[in-house]
Amino acid sequence: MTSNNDTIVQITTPAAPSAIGVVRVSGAGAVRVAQQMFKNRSLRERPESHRVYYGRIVDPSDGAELDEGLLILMLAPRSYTREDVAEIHAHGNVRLLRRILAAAAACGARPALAGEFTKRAFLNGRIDLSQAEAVAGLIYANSDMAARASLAQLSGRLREAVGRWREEILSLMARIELSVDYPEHDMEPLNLRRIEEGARALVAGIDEMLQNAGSGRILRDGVNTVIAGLPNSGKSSVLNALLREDRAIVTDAPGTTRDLLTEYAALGELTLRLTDTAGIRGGALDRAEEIGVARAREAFAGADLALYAVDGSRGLTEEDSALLSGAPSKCVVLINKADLRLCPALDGVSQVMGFPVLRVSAKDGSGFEALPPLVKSMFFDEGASDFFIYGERHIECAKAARAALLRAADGAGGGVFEDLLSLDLKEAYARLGEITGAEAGEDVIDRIFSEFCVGK
Amino acid sequence: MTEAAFETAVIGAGHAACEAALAAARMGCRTAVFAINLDSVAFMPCNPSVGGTSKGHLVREIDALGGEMGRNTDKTMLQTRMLNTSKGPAVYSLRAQADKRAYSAEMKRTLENTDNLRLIQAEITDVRRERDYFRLETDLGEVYRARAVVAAAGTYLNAECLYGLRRVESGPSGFRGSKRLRAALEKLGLEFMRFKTGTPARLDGRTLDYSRMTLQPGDDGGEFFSFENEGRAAPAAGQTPCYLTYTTARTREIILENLRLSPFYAGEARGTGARYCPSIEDKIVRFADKETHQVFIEPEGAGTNEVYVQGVSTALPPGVQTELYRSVAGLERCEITRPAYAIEYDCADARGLTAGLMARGAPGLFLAGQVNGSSGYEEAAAQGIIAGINAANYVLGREPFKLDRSQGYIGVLIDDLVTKGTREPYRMMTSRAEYRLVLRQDNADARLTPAGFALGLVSPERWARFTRKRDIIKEELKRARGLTLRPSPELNGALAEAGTAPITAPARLDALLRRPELNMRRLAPFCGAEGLPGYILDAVNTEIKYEGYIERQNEQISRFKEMEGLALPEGLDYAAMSCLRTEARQKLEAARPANIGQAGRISGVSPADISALMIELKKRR
Repeated sequence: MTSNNDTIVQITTPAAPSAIGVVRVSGAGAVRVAQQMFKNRSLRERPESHRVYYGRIVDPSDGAELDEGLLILMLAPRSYTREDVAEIHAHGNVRLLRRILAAAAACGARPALAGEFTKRAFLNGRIDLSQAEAVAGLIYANSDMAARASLAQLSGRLREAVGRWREEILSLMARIELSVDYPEHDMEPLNLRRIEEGARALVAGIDEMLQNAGSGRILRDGVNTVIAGLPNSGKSSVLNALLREDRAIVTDAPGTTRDLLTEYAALGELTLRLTDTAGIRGGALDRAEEIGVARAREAFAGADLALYAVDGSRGLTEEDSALLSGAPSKCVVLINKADLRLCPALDGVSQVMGFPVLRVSAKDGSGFEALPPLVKSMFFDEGASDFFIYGERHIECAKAARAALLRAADGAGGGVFEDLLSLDLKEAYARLGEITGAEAGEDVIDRIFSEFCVGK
Repeated sequence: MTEAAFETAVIGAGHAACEAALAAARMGCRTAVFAINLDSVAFMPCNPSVGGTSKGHLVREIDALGGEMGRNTDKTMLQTRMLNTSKGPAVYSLRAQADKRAYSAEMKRTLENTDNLRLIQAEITDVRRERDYFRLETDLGEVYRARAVVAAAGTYLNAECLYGLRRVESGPSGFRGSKRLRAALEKLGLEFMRFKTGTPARLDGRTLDYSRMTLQPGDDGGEFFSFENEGRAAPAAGQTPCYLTYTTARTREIILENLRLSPFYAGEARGTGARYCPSIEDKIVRFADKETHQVFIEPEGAGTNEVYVQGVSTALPPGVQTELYRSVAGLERCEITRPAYAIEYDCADARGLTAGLMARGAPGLFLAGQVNGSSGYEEAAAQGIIAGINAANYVLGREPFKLDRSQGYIGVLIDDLVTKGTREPYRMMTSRAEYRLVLRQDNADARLTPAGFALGLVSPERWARFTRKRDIIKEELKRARGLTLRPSPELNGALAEAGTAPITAPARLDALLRRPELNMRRLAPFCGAEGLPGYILDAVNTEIKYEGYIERQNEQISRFKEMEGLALPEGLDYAAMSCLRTEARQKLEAARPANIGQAGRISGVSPADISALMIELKKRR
């Protein structure tokens, strides 16, 4: 028996208080684990797939009752992982769920690694590569929009688009291959213009997808946001106001790879990944401070979004202008302390150095309601295509396909032999196939024989 | 009774058998060729031509390995034509019109005059393993022994010819079929399928009106197949040309009126036919909106009036055939000499073979040619030489010789057959070769002659000639890559003549060669290469002109090699691998691929299965 078949367990709902928490067990020992820690007679005597059991959850090591709840068995292969799966539904208390997890581990289940259920689903052929990646996106999605984009991919929207492009490449290829394999077949001469146009149209389609790739990252990882401003401009109260806006969704960074200083805040449908930039300021600095400031400036300039706080009672200073000149292209100037008397110079100002201005009061939270639509409009065009490409692998494949199509288009325009065009088209076809994990077959040959009357 | 003992026994005398027997005998094995009829040596029961798209590549590769098909064609051909010259260097394809009688006679003479080789007329009815040899029995009860056997039975196994709804037990062209061999091969572990193919009628060429057709001459000063004849001009065109004509509306009517008499449409045919070789019935029915279909008239030989009618193969009864052929433009008064027929035959599922064409269940038994589900003389010969080489390797206790998909069309052909199997008679196509830019017909010698020489199939004289050519190309490439041409009236005149812009400043030769309008032959006088033969200039031209493409293809090949290098242990228990889908488990268990690359080409094994398999292998290490 391979270790692939060992039994794994993990809490599958977020580590935050909620009504219900789910602990999932998967593997050959899932039923046994469930029987040991979930007290229900018919479960013990005759476990059935896809049935809901009610009973007590106990820690078998000391017999202590942990909670009462529901248990659902999904026996192989009719489960997400195609292995035997038991899902324990308990109350959504984090400490309680951890105890249930520990109890399952005591019954022989191993705590699952991140993404391991999905990995098994993939390895067992339950989902294909693009779906596996979409599931990972769904799990790590930090916002509503990200979840929706993931669902679109999961349901095959990406696959649909890629499939359509491959279909078009196939018909271009079949035409060339036909002419190469059946040189004496009576057909109209190959139209290189058509191939060039076809390839360029495909490049445009991939470009659109790649443009959305940036949006995909923003949806998945959150908008990398820096709050900046001079000392006492109210940066920390802006931060607090943002965090207050929707406390329930604020979480620590999930996982250990992320910067510990990073905080997440929900902003409408988007998630902001907030980075502390206390370091940015002017004035005399010692060497150590200089390094810190340089780093902070770099983070500021490289952010997806900057929220720049200005003390509204003090007005804009030269130092503000100096700092704003290093701002990223997407920046909102927050004129803070709008509850106090504003400096007259700021009256009626709607833009500072080309950046939009919002008047807010971090103290009572007023004015922040305008921020979510403003930020969303900065990242997403109204009515833009709503399919997103996730994952570095997809992007790499799409880029390689694009490059090959561009070579084919240029070649067709520049009088390159059709056989060579076919090489590039074939590469594009294969690379797009890698996104959806399509099996390589005799597509071209099948196409030739179904569309053309050839043969001796 | 004494049993004659051989090291290698070849069953059959067709294109696969001839190459197999010659290779084994030339590698030093005492070899016997058993044919039901010795007048059928290297017989061409269908079209009178050798080569063509992708098949021409196979012939050149066979030749580079030291095989006979190219040389034999060169000795007996009527004319040649290089196809696809406007479509790119990788798809240039040489095709020769063959003189059937001459081809067959010449090949028989070569077999007869080869040391270690004996021709025996006998039908082998039984092959069985006994200790360390095979026991072969003939229909007359004679018994022979051989250490290795190459079964190259072509389309003869349980063959039946269909003429309309009549079914006649017969091999191709009236030769007797073979009725008992299939059962013997089955006992040795092979599985069988039933395929069908067909051939058009032959007509009396004197009854055709060529004035209504388009002349299709061969090339003047065309090329030969064999690298031994490189640089020499093939026979001039014109003596025995081909002609192009078309079916008419009447053809269509006749077919549709008589469809119920065609075994294909009356439900009488049982074998699986090939999509690339449709009968005229199929063409008319499947492509109903196409008004006319091309028909090529090809000579059967210099010493006969008979002609071949490419494009009109049919299984309609002979009574309807005269009317059918007479409906083609220019054939209004034609007389049929041999009626068209379809033939059904048994062939083995080649997935039971290794990449060296040895039966996995019966070491020492090799299968080659149409008996493996392929079609075409060239495909057969290509398998024949590999099977013959490996029969000899087996006898001599050497490792099998294999070619992979990046080494030649032969490698593609065999890998397709043994890995994917085929559900219809398999024809080679350039579209099947994923690395075709480096698998050109012009560089087949560079790719395979070293292997042929190492095997002992290439003579020292030829090897010397080859290494000389290789060195000159290398030298010229180096020189050409470093060359800069200065503008001159002569050079700019030549550029203008080619239809490309003149140069005003010194230009690198390689940059100029990348212009679509230019090539080495044109620029030779300006770069000190005018004395070199055309095939050297072409080789240099291709290497420089398509450098970027070739580099990309080489990168793909190294990725391919990486996958082929991940060997799968022999005793792997796929059935117990829970990480694989059930279908993949079954397919892998049946195919037992040698490496990850091969596993990925098995239909029913998905990329996810391959990822899972790779993870599984890593865990075991």
